[in-house]
Formats: sequence, C-alpha cells, structure tokens
Amino acid sequence: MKLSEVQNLFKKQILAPQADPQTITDLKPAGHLPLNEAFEVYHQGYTNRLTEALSRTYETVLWVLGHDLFNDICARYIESQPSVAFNLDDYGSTFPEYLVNTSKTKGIPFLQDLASFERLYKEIDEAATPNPLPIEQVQEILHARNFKIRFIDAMGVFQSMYSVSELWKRRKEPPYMYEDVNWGNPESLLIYKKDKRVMVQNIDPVDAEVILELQEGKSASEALSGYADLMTPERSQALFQLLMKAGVIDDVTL
Amino acid sequence: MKYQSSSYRVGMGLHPSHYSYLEQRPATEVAWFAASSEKYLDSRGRALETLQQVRQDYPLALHGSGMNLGNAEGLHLDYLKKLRELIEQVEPFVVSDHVAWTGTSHHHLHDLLPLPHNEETLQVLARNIDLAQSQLKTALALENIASYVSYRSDDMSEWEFISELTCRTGCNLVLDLSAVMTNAHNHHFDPLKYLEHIPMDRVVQVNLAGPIKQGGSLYNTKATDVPNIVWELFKQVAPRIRHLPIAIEREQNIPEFSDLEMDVIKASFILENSYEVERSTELV
Repeated sequence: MKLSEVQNLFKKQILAPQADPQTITDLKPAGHLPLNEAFEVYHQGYTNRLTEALSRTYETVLWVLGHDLFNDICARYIESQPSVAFNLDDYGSTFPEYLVNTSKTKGIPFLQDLASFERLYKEIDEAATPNPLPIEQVQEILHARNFKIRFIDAMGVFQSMYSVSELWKRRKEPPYMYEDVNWGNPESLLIYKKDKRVMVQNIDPVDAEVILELQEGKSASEALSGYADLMTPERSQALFQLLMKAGVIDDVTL
Repeated sequence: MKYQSSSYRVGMGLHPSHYSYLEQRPATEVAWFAASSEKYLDSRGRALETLQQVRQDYPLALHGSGMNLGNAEGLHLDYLKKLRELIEQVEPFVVSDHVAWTGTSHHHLHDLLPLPHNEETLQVLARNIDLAQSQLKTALALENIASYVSYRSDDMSEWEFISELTCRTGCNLVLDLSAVMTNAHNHHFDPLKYLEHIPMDRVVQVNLAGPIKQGGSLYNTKATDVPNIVWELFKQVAPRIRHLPIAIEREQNIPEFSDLEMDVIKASFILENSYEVERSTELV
C-alpha cells in the first residue's frame, strides 16, 4: 500500500476510531496497547487540541455553558468541521453560526452574538498595534465641511440585542448562573486596539451606525445625512472627538 | 534584560501565558526561547510583537509542528512562504520541525503522526525536506516523535531510519529525549541503544519534556513536569550533549514562568555536574 493510502486510512481512523480491517492489517500497536486504544490516543488528542483552541477563543461561551456542555458541543462541531488551518488557534471561525443551529443551546438567545463578539475581539487582538494619525493633524481636518475617514485595521463595531460585554467582563470569575447577569439590553460596542491593549467601549447605537457607514468609505456628510434629526452638529463633533481620542483614525482625506 | 548565572545554554518554550511577564523584560535564568512557528505565521499583533521584543533580549529557535514533512501529497508552499518571512524577521539560530506527518493537504490533524520506516517514506521525506530547505534558504533540524503504533511495512528501526534520513538530506536533528524514552518503553528497546546509533554530530538541540505513564504505556503529552526517568536519561547523556542548546518543552498545562525556570536551572545544574562526574570517574 502506498504512503498516501496509508495516511488516508490513518486519518479516517483518527476522525472516527472504529476499527477498520485494512488499518489493522497495516499497523500494529505499541507495547501492550490494543490497536483501537492506540488510535483512541490520537483521536482524543485531535479532539482535545481543537476543543482547547475553541476554549481559548470562546472563553466566555465556555464560562456560560460550563465545561461539560461546551465540550459536548465542541466534539460535535469538530466532527462536522475538519480543521483546515495549520495554526490551531485559527480553528473555529464558523463556531458562532454553529451555536445557533444546535438544539443544545436553545434557551440561551445571546450565545451566537457572544461568540461573534469573542471572534471579533480575537481578530482585533491579532492585528498589528496601530499607529494612528496624531490628534493635532486630525483636529485640523475635522474642521473642514466634509472629509473621509480611514480607520485603523485593529478596530470593529459590534452591535447586539444583548449585553454581551456584561457577560464577557465576568469570564474570569468563578462560574455562576449567567441568568444573574443583566444581559437583556441591546448594546453597541467600539472595539479597538490602543497601544498594545484591546479596548471595549460602549457607544450610542446611532454613533455605531455612522461609524459603520464611514468604515464603508462614505464621506462624513454622507454618513451623517441619514441621521440628520439625531446627529446635531454638537453630537457629530462629540462623535469625531470620541474617535480621535480612541486613536482609531488612520487617515483623514478631504 | 536577560541574565543567566551559568554558561549552559538551557532555554524553554515561549508560551502566550508568559507574554505579560516577559513584556516587563525581567532578569531570567533562561538562555534562549523556542517559539512555536505556527503561532506567529499569521499574527501581526501581540504574539508577533512579543516575539520580536523577546528576540531583542534572547536567541530564538523556531520550532514548528505544521510543516507536514511526511505528507505524501507534498508541502504547502504558502506555509513555507510565511515561515520564510518569519525567519527573516527574527533570525532564529535553529529552524526545526518533526519527522512526522500532521495531516493531508486539505485536513490538518494537529498531531505528530508516525511514518512507516521504509524506503518510500525516506523518498517522500527527502523530497519534502529538499523543497523546504530550498524555499526557506536554511537548513532544517528534525525532531524525533513519540508513537503509539508502528507499521508492518517498517523495514528498519527508528534510529536506522533517522540516520539514513540525515545522510540523504543533510538535515540536522533535534533530539527529544522524552520521545526516545516513550518509544523505548512502548516499543521495547533500550534508549541508550537508540542514542548510540543516531548521528550525534547532527544533533543541534536537545528537548526535555514530560511523558506520563498510564496503564503500562508512556504518553509523551508534554503536559507535566519533566519526570525522573527523563532526568536520569539526560544525566547519562549529558557529557555528550552539554555543548548543545537544551530546551525545557511544555505544550499543555503551562505553569507559571518560574516553575519552568526551575527546570531550566535543574538542567543547567546537571550539565555542570556532568564535568564533576567525569572528573571523579577519572580519579577512580
């Protein structure tokens, strides 16, 4: 049997460790281990590594679900989603969507949003430390009638019907009932990297919409035009001051 | 800033849970760090920034586990390109991976899987190592792995296989003493026989980690402290490897920095003591 065939058999055996007669013909276990137990070592190793990777990215989801349910959901997800990335830490980009479709988490409405928030947080954490435009330079241009803003890469806006950040803040605490956390209110968050730290800031929902439109490449006047009733000149100035102080403006063009 | 009281070159793995500590640039007993290549290939954020900062104070080795050198379907050129960029950035003194396969071209299994010890595998490895070394523009060092199965198609021992591999490819070796001990126990051979038969002149780094014993078998989980059986083997081989960089490896259950640093100190002490053992042996 060629090496490629052996490796495909080996892989099948790791993913679903039921004794395959062909595998048994070609392999022998080490020492006193039965072959199925030897493969169980590899199967468990595979599942454990991917579960650990998911628990690092989705730390608050684990906090909410507890180890048993989290591990159970991860095992099913891993079975349905083979890893294609060589970096273990990249595994699980579709985990938030998977959480919606599993009946195991019914009754926890915020779970997909919480997982999406943690994924965005990880992406921002992995982005390079930004080098934003100095405040003095931004200030000069913000007085113009119209301009476009280019944001730093390490920034994102997150909107949810639930207060996921309230749950996230408690992720390092000992597990207790998440029902005790006030997660029922909608929230909008600006997540960004300042120096080497990821910052999570609650912002007004209208401000969030304007930032998203600016992020799409619209000019300030275009972005604000849809919210003319709400965004008074003073409020618009406050929003731009917020962005400036956060250090999320990479460039401003007239 | 780095500080080391002894002249021995004992290092340890660079772990994300120690980033905060190392970012303060404390004085340590660690002579160098081994960084897991894959963690830094796609990072532009804290991981890479910390790696670059650590590199300012310490020599660095890049130790990968995802090159998949034993893959019969060949190597990922994208992986090699990213690794090449990382090598240029941090200038490691050793670039290493494993004598293993880690998945197929479209499916990563994130484990170091054993290869048949036969001619076909040697050819696959030689082809892949040749491609990797030419793309990376650097010599590779390959580490032996622990295995829990072997192949009926094996037609040579592990040490014969590794010796032949170094002859054909010119690659160097990273000697994992914990894997040697694990395989010796599970596959029933003498670890010293293994060490006598591999080309020690090709070994450029030695790793120590913690296998665990369960149900009569050893598992090289690298999730515990270095156990006595590995320390004992290290003591026996110390006179032959004390000129080499030694690494304390840990992959899971990463403890506090100071706990791993204690193992660094212990390894340095054993190396230092190996001269005393030699001198007293001569006197006798």
